[in-house]
Amino acid sequence: MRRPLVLLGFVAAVIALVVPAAVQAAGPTKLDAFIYVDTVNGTRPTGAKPRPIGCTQSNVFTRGEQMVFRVWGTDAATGDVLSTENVSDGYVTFPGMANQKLNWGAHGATSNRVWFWTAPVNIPADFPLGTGTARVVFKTDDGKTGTYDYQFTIVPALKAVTKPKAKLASRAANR
Amino acid sequence: MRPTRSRSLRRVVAACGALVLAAALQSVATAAPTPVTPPQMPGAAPLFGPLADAGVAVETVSTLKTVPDVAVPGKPVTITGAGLPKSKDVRLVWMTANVRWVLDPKADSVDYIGRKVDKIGVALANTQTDASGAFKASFRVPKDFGGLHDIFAVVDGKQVAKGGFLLERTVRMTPTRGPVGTPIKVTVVGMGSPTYESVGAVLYDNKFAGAISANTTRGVSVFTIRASGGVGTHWIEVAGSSHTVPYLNMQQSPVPWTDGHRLAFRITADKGAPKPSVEQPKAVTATIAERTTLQNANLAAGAAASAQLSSTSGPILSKTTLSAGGLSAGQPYVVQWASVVGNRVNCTGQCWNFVNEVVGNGVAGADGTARADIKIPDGLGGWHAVQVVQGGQVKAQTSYFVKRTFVSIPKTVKAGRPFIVELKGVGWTQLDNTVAVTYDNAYVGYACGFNSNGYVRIQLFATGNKGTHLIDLYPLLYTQQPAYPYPQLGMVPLLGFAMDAPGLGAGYDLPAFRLAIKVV
Repeated sequence: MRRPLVLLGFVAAVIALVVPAAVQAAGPTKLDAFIYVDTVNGTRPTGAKPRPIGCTQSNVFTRGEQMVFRVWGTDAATGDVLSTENVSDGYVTFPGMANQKLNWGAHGATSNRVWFWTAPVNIPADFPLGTGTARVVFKTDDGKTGTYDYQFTIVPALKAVTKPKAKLASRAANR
Repeated sequence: MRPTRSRSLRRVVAACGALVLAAALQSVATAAPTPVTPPQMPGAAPLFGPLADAGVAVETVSTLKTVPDVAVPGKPVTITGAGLPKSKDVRLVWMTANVRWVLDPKADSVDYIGRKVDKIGVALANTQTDASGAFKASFRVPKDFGGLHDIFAVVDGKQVAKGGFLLERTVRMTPTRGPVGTPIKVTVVGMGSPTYESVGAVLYDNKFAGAISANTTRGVSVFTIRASGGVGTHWIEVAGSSHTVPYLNMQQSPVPWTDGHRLAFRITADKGAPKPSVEQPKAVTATIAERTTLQNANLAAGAAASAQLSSTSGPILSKTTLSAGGLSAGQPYVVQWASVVGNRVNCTGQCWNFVNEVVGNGVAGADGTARADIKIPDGLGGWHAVQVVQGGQVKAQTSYFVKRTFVSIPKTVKAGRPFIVELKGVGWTQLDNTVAVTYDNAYVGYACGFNSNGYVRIQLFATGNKGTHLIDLYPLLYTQQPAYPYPQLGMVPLLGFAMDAPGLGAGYDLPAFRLAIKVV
């Protein structure tokens, strides 16, 4: 009676060990570069009212706002930070636009400067609503390429909701 | 005998292995979420066009101009593109979704799991680019889910250009004035398919009345609430929501177009408490047979008998006639009513069991047929199996739906005094074990019928000014015991029950009861 029990346990343990290993075998694709991308709202949009707080991370914008790409990259083999020292070309492809050049520079307070790549994109007034994909592309001096597809959403400027005809309470209270 | 270390180790390994195997088997055997095909719903628009392949994304994509790009269904729209491949066929594809409720029908219950969204592309128009690579096409805004819809221009299987459109949400109601108790029909068009656009929270004078959805009605919700309160203006708001209650700063969310719509209703008089009434859901044909209670389970191996009922739904104590064929000729039979006994409270294991009640018997005829008049037991509501048993084996079975029924409410109650509302035939599954209660359109709580075998006594207090006060009982989706991740619309009044509820596709006809008292 004991042997079947031991055998059952052995088989189950083998299954438990082999299945995850098989899943891992596929593995990720080897990349030339690690890239981090986010976007923040520009403080001086050309076609929309500025938000109360500028330079906050968001991937949702209205037309007329400025979407600023912030990008950090690292060479996967050497660990070198991607900068003008080793990058021959860096840009963002954006639907309906020419490629937007990425600029390397320091940002932040004088006492806390941080270097990274940026590309501001002014969302045209007739840009399509909905989801879009921008591609961040780096080409290095030694022929390596790194890309990152970044998804964003364009929403209409807030429309007035159905307003009650009664006077707004806040107006009365503030008089 | 004292085990040796190696023997102990073997036992540990065996036990651990058995546990791993048991866990693996259990993960296969547990919840079996079933997306339910939506029933044909009167008033709900079908998918407006044929499915279309949206093509593959390309690195360089142009943009399309859509004028207007924010509108309601039916409005004409012009869409143009330029700089595209020249003199090519262009397929315009509108991105949207199909949404289905997801249930887990078990032998002894039905669990509410949530919903499933399948993104699809629908052919909007076909056109051609001219010699310069430009095109112009027009269409009318389809009757579809609200919110953002991407539009792709597809050439040779590639998304060469991308446009977009916002199908606006609108809220209308009728009438806009009347006495206390006036049914107010509210129509919402343009509810979305993504999670945070798919629920609307309904407020009445800033009191939470319940939630609505439009998953299987392509963005349209039609529901009724009744005018409550004193003479004067009252505000009804259909607010944006993610799951149940309002998302109060929706204008700061990524889906600001779902923000609240506020409508005013004027109560003209209090003409006394309206009589109790029942609002039934739309009559639809169920799309799945796996309901509950032993459906197609426990049949004797090789059983060739069949059974039918003269009516398949009704309240407790109603009558139906069972006809069976293919039984063992000349042999006695019994007709069993299958139900369950137990509850979900503090449930940590097997918390209810099947029980059978004999509701008929006789001897099968020489041709193997049987006929028995059945009186529906005074017990749990919902779907029950009716089984024909011979020689201890279930030879045939069919099912019967017990409708929940209103029993009583007092006509007048002194202010500050308790009163009781009674129901019977309340069920036990996560679709029908509970009713949600509103008092003057404010959600005050729920009442469950499982532990009390379908009989519900709701304890309420008479509050407010002297005059008419409304009590409405709505279907509720019970999302506890067991609880599943991320279900929407749980534990609140399901105001849109008549057109969009997960039970409709499984034959659960759950009504709302419209009641009232006079506070004196």
